[in-house]
Amino acid sequence: MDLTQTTTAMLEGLHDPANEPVWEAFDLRYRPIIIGFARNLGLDEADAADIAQETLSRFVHEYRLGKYDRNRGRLGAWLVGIARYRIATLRRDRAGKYNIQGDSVLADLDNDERLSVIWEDQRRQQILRQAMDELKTRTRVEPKTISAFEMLVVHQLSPQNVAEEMGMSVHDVYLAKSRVAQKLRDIVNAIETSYDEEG
Amino acid sequence: MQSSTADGCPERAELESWINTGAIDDAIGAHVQQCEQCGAAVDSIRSDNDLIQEFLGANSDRLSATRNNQEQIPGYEVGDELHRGGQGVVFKGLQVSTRRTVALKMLLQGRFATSKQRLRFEREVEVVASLRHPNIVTLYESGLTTDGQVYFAMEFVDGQPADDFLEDSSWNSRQILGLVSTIARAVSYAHQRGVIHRDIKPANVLVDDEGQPHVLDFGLARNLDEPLHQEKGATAAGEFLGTFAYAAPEQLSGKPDDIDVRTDVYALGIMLYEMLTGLRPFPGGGSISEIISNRLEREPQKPSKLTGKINNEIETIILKAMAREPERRYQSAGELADDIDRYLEGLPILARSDSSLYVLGKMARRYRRPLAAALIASAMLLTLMVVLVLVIIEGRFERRSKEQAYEISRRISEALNLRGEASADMGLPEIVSVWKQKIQDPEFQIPFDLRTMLLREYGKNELELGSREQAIQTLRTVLQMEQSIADDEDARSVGIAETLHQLGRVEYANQNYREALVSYYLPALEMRTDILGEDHPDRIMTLQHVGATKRRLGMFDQARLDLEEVLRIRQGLGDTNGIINAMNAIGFIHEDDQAMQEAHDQFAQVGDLIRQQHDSVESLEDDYRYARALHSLARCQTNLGRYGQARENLDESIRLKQQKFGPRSETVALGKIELANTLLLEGGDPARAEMVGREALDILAQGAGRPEDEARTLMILGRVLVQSEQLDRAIICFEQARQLLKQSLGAEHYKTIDATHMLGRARLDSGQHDAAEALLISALGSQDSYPEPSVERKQDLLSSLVRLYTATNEPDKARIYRQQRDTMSDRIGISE
Repeated sequence: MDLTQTTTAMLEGLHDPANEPVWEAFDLRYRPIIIGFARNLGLDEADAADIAQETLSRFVHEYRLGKYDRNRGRLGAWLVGIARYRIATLRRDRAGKYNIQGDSVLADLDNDERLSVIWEDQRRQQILRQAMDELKTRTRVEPKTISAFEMLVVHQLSPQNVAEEMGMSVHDVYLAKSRVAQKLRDIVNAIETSYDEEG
Repeated sequence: MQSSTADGCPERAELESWINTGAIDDAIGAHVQQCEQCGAAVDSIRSDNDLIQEFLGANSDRLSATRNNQEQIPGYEVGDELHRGGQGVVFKGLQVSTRRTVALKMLLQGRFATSKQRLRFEREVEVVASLRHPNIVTLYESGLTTDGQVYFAMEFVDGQPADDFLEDSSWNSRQILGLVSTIARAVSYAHQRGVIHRDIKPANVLVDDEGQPHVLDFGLARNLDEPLHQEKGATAAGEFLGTFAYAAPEQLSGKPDDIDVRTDVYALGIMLYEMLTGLRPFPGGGSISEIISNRLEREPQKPSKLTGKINNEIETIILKAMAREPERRYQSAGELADDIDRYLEGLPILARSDSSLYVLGKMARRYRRPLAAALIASAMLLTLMVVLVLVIIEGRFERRSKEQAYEISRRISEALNLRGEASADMGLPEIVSVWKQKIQDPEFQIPFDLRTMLLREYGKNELELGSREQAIQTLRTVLQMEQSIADDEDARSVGIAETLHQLGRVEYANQNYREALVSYYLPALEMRTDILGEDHPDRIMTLQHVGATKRRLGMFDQARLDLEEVLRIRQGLGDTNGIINAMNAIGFIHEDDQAMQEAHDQFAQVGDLIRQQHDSVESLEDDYRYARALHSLARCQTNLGRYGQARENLDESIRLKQQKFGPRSETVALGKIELANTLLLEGGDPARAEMVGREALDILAQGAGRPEDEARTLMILGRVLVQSEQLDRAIICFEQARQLLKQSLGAEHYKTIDATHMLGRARLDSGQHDAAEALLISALGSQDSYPEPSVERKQDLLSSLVRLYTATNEPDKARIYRQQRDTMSDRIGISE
């Protein structure tokens, strides 16, 4: 799957109901964001997964009917709009089934600005997660450099320990960190560009 | 400076550790400030660190398992993770030298703290570590991990956070009061040693097996690098709400100098409120600025209104502790504890509720404007009554009123020279039936077109007056007459198109939507398009009806296209009223199609358009369509979960309707139903939801309303009552709703099924298992025979049955229904 396929290209492809790969790519890109978004609004894992499913199928339905007009707003805002309604419906149904008690902790859906902040945040997280996969599988950074980075940053070993273990100088450990960080930045920027949601 | 490079610059490793640990080697700091190269290096390391930090946060779930903790804290063996939150991770640990079990808390941000922050932090830790109290979690020490991350070692308490504990326990209000009193005494002890907590909340109080509270994290709130209002982001969102919920006004308004022991008293008050009512005094959510302004301006909901467990004295204690102005609170945590204890011992409490003079003053300040408005309103009463009469005369829904019908008949009578056969003291029905006979009388010589036109008018009047069966007969007669004279079944004429259109209206009113569309509206549309052209108002009217009928048939996309065409043409004609009409209709389609955001935008535009038509507030408020647009808008907002906005719009809409049609009109009742629904879903004010629902019911009981509206109100009321655990009363409501719906819509209708389901659930929850079983099984049967079965509805029913058979301990039956339900889930695929 090409991580850097632009959202615009995906949306083009979605017009063709038989274009499975593009649907998959779209799904892969947005499902985790919607799930994260819903989780952030206080839904549990199962509910968040349902919301993502409903939101995506609803979106594709509306998109194919030509309801989504890129001039009207960003894709993210559109998806937030659909998800928001689904979440409100879920809560309303829950209210019917008596499960609402102490729900005041749940964020209110009133606030557009806040919802879009949460969305943006989830989108960024998704990009960072994709970046991790990308870093491991695709880039031409030496494995030793990656290992040093992982030991230092992820496992949080001291630079001296990493240097000993990897047989390099402390200076090189820090260089490895800087090199991987730069690579990470490039990947993140590339993916970020592919989310060309501005329309 | 050791180990510098040849040109005097520190090595990269030195720069990194200078940045990471905030080491106090200011020689490096001074150098970096002067050296361009090192300055750039530091910037780049910082930006790497930021990215890495963000990256780690986003991937924390995938990375935490690989974390190598043993390396991190010298002198401790790090064990299992106990808790992970926005601020840090807590591990169980063992201090190697003493072999005592400890809790090790590592701060996420600590690693990047500046040296100044670290110094301040270390001083604070020293003071906090000196606190020794059985209800305060002792801090043993803090330090830096091998990697320069801040950690605390503290007393390990085997317990649960207070909110979880209370959720699992069945503590009564006296026990809760006792708990809070103990917490307040511990807080008071710390205050006496100069330590303010600043972040008291249930999550920071652990309750052990014996029910003893232990307050955590004393005095550390300020040291978490960021001031409260800078916290942000996804992982911190829950925590952030939690923290805000207990923050005192002086914390929220950004006046750190005003923070003192009374800030903790405030948080204790909020905590007591929440523990006793299960709710927070101020609605959560919204933007930070909304939360802040809410807290700074609004009075909390009175706790006694939320639960019967709170009497006057407890309420007085709570409200005094959480008074907005610090000087009105208890002046110390000790005073709060004393007053709680006095209450528990049956002694009179010292706190006094606000004096009536104070309350009066406050009221006057708060209500100055509304009071003035009320006075003006009463002066306008006379005007209003005149307006009311005018409204009745003009007809509310663009229908012809009886008076107009009479006027028409009178003129027609004159034209037909019926004076001899109809007299002035005849009622309208008599007059019209006389002239109907006359028109149909073949002996009566009038031109054919006039005859059919008059008869069609008669049919229309029958429809307006509600005699739909007669209207159909009359209009069919007209149609036959018109078709026979043309001698052609495919005959087209302006008259035939009009008759078809009117027949469509009758069938629409009869809810025979398919018949209305296929047999009447569509042929009428075709004819009018051919004969009159695209832009003719009659053709547009038929098109609008076509769209409305398609909506009823669930053909939302087509309906929308039709109405968008209507809208486009009317926009071309500059017909504002027509535009508003069409936009409203499009809004309803979106709403039925569950595209709530679009519906919302549409109704908002309708509101704007109406507003633009008026140049004064009075004339705007007098325009019924405005109140209706607000009502529609609010309904969408409720569906979108924007309860606050919905409530405001409904309040306004109801006010306008009351002003125009009187407080007990049906349309006011409809507004109140919607408001009750919003309040129910919002959940914060069940008492008001019930009250508003009852008011609506009361109006509808006058007999003016449709039984479905009454049933909907009863359903909402039932749910409110369930929420406040009054199952017996809820059952009565659901039962009544079910009867009403059964009579008006039939047992098979989905609304009836919902009512049966709800009734079954309520009976199940109140332990009436047999009755519940009968109801749920019958609802399931009706659901299966419903022509358009809804997957969700059926799944919900199956879930209720699973719940029932779990309660009655019949696992085999429960399994069958569970399987059914789960197979249904599998079948809902993503593909379109």
